[in-house]
Formats: sequence, C-alpha cells, structure tokens
Amino acid sequence: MHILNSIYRCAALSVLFFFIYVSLPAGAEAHSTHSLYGYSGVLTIPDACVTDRLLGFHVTYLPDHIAPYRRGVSDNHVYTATLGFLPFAECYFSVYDAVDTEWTGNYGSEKTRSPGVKIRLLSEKRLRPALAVGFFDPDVRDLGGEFSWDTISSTFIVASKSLLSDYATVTFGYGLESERFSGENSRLQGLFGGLVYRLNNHLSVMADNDTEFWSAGLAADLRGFSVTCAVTEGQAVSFRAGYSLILPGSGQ
Amino acid sequence: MIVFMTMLLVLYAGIPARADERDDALTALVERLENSGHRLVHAAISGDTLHVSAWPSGFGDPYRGMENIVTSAAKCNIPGVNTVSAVHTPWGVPVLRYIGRTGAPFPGGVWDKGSDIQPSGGKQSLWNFLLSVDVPFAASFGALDDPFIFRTGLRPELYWNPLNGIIGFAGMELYAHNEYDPSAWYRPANMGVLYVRSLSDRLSAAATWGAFGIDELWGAQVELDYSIGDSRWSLGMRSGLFGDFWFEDDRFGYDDLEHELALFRLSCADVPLDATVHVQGGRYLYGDYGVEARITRMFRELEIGFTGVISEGEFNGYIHCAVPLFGESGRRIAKDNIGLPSRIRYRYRYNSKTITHDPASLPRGSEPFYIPGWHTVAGSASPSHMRSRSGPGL
Repeated sequence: MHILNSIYRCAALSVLFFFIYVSLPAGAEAHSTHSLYGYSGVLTIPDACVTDRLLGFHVTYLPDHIAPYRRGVSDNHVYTATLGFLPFAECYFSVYDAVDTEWTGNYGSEKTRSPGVKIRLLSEKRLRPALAVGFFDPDVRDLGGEFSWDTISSTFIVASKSLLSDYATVTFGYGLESERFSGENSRLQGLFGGLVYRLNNHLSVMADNDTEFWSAGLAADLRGFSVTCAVTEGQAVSFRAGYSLILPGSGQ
Repeated sequence: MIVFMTMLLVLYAGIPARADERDDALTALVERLENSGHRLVHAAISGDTLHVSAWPSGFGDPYRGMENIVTSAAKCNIPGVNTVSAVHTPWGVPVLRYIGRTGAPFPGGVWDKGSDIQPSGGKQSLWNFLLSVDVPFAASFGALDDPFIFRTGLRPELYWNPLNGIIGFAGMELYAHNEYDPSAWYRPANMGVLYVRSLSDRLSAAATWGAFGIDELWGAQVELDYSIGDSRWSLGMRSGLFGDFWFEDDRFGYDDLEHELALFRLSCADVPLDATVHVQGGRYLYGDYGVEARITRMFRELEIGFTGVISEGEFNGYIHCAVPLFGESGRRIAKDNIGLPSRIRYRYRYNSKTITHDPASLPRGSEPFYIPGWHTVAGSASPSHMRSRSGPGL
C-alpha cells in the first residue's frame, strides 16, 4: 500500500511537471501588470518585466497602516508616472502625499518624491526566467546628497516566469537589507514573491508577499485603462487606477 | 544632309520647349509646396537633380514635411530629373538633407546634415517672412527652498524671421496659478535675437542676445555644433556671459554680467532606438565645474530625457521632455505666413541638497535651459532621428 501511494504521488507529480513543462511558452515575455505603486509588478512588489515605450499614469490609495510614507499616521495618495524608457529599462517617478498630515507653510499635507529605475538583465526564454535589478529611490546621502531622508527605498533583484501558456506569471525577488542606500521608509527587505493569474485578456487575480504583508487582489485592464483593488492581511483595502499607452517610435 | 538638317531643326525646336516645360513645372512645384504648408520654398534644377529647400512650418514634423516635398516633386514629373535633393530649412537655415531617386518610394534615400541650400536661380516663393505665434503651456515646479512650489499658465511668444537665420523673439508668461508670488499674474519671458548659420557641411553656429525672463538671466551665448562621420557623433560647445535679471513690482532689475558659462559636449546617437547619449563638462553658470551625462530618446516626435549632473559635490537630476503640438493642423495657418509652435519644452529638477529655505542659494551644475538657440532651429531634424523614422537598414 505504501509503495502504491508512492507510485501515485510520483505519477501525479510527473503529470504536474509535464503539464507545467508543455505549458511553458516558447520564450515569450511575461505579461506586465501594474502594481499598486504604478510600476510593473504584482500587487505590492515589482516583477522582472519591462515593456519598451510603455507610458503610464497612475493614482493609488494606500491605507495608513500599510502606507510607506508616514505609516500609522496618514493614508497615502500616490501619483506615479512610469515609462519603458529603453527596451531593458523602466523608470518611474512618484509623489507620495500623506493626506492626513499638515505641513508648515501653505502646501497642504506632507509629500515626498520617489524616483526609481528597473533594469532587465536577462530576457525570458523557454526555461529561463526574466531577471532584473531595481534601484528604487536610493538614499544618496552616502554619495554626498542631502535631500534623501524620506526615501521609499528598495534595492533588489527579481525573477519572473510566465507559466501555463502565459496565463500565469510567478515572481520571486530578494531585496537588500543593507542600511547603505536604504532610507527611512525602506521596503522589500528580504525575500518577496507573488503570482498573477490571468482569467482572460482583461481580468487578473493576484497575490503576493512584500516581506511585511500578504496581499490578494483583482486587476482589470481595458483599452489602456486599468484598475486594481487589493486586500492586505484580510482587512486593509487599497486601490489603483491608471492609464497606459505604448508610445510610437522605433525599438522593440 | 537632309537627315542632319532635320535633326538640327528638332534639337533647335526641342530645347526651348523643354526649358519652358521645366520652368512651368518648377513654378507648379513651388506653389504646391506653399499651399501644403511649406514656407521659404526654393526649387532649382542642376543636371538631373531637382534641388528643393523649404521649411515645413505648417507640419510640426520635419519628417512628414520632407515626405511631402519628395512626393510633390515626383508628382510634378519634371523631364530629365531623376534625383531629388531636399533640404529642410527652418528659419532659412539648412539643417537636414534628403537625397533620393524620384521614382523610389519615400524614405528610400539618404539622410545627411544640410549644407548649402541649392544652386542659384530656379523658382522661389515670394514671401521671405514668417511670424510664428507660440502659446505653450507654462509651468514651473520646485525650487531650492521649496521642492513642491508650483505655478502654471500660458506663455504667448512671438517669433519674427525677417531674414534667413535671424529670429527676433519676445514673450510673456501669464499665470493662472502662482505659488512663487501669489500677487504676480504676469512676467516677461524671453526677449532678444537669435542668429543661426551653417558654416559648413558639418559645422553650425548659433548666437543669442537678450533678456531671458524664464531663466531669470540676461546676456549672450554662442553655440557650435560639429557633426562627425555620418552625423551619429557630434561635438558641441556652449559659451555665454550672463547676469541676473528679474521682474518685481512691475519693474525690471538686472545685475552685472558676472556668470560665465563654458561647456563642451560629446554626443552619440543610436539609430535603432532613436536615442542619444550626451556627455558634457565644464564651467557651469555659477562658477562651479562639473560633468553631466544625459540620455534622450525620441518616441516619434515626443522627446524624453534624463540628466545627471555632478558638480562640486552636489548632484542634480533632471527629467526633461518636449511634447509635440498641433501636428498637421498648422498647415492652413502657415499659408498666411504665420507659424505655430511645434513643441513644448519642459524640465523638472531633482536636487540632492536639503531644503535650504534660502531663496538666495545657488544651484550647482546649472545652465540656462529655455534660451532660444540651436535647438530652436534644428529641433528634432537630426539625420539619426530621420534614419530611425525611416526604418531599419537606412
């Protein structure tokens, strides 16, 4: 009986591996989805995808206990522009607005800027995942800069692979925990990962862990307009809405 | 003998007829180009080559303008002409040349830097005059003492082109919202004269004099641009002498010319990606010495670039863009010798210094950005950009 169980298990695993193997697309690039932070990724983590000439504008609501800027004090409104500037490099620029805070002067609530770049080192092949490194809002005070204390920093390496005939994308990454280049509001310090499953061309379900929180959500995309709704740790609800387009021009 | 005499008669009768036919065709071509939105049109024939120079001021896109010249020339079907040499002459300055066969589909020819416009003679449009009305969106965001300060409005500008290569300009900013000075709703923008010349096939020069309200400077600058090989590489120099200039309580104010600028640049263009990398260094506006790297990419006519400047321990990052405007809609207006702006230029600065709360603090690695110069004339009309638009392998 024990032997029979082992055979059944081996057979089931073999069928599963075979199913995954035949479902691997022939070197297709994983589809890019927009994270809550605007840059390409799952819900709260970046992936290794870069789409050349993709320009996007996003607005995000993050509740206070997961918001990176003034956490526990204020919800965040995040305004992000992203651009696939080169076939292997995606840039983003965000403004984080801690809407429940007061700033000295006449500028309303406290805000901070967050630029970043993600560089794809390896493109995806049939058996090889795409591999990218990211430098998101590094603290440049070590390099002589001074205006860096509110950085929402992440320095990471990430791999993404499309599976199941391109219906799913799995992402795993590791963020440096070094204090060097990490500012006051660092994220993604350690192992993070997530999964995107496309129900059809317009609807995806997602789940991820950004080293602090588990999140699950739903994303819809129609003619460039996209929305994401996510629940973090079963309670906090976040939203993102945006518009993306492929700029004309040469390249990929 | 009879045969010989007959041949002479045919030749005698044929030559003037063919010359008249060419003359009429050139006139028709010039009129056609004028009516389709080109200014400063000049056409002449030399050997089997039709030389055309024009400024597609109504197109907002030099590539489409050049396509219009080449296809219009082919439609005229001028006898004995099988090559077209078209030169793009914004403000009367030759900056880009396309050479192709008249029967071949555009863009199957060769792109190069422009030089002499064309042989003398031929036909040209009567009007050598163009008034350009520029009403771009004006916005400023961030200052050394406050990174989130903001103002926005319109910036009407007038450009007057009395002679080839000479451009007078004057403008004003009108604010709908102004956090820099809430009581100010207008401010003079740039006023002065720009003179641009192509000194040779490879070397171009531009000189600007005036008061530049957007950068809050007055003075003069000279730019040189030397292209190498197939124009993928180029060397550049920018030198200027400036003084502070301001406008407060409806009065102008200015200081002595005490800011010297001397920058040297090396550029390299990547045709497949339509991207250009610039490395620049030298003395910046406020006496500091530094180096910078800039990468710019064209997405058709939309230009986006990133710049990093390190100067005496301070880092400044810039995001800049030039957004195309109006496109084909300017053609009808161009017929009346009035031009429309082709692009808005904007730059956002990301500074590594802490907020000083001192309005008198001086930024490092700074150079005037909004002053009309070589870029005002050449815009996106570089051979590399055109080769990229033409497709792979050209």
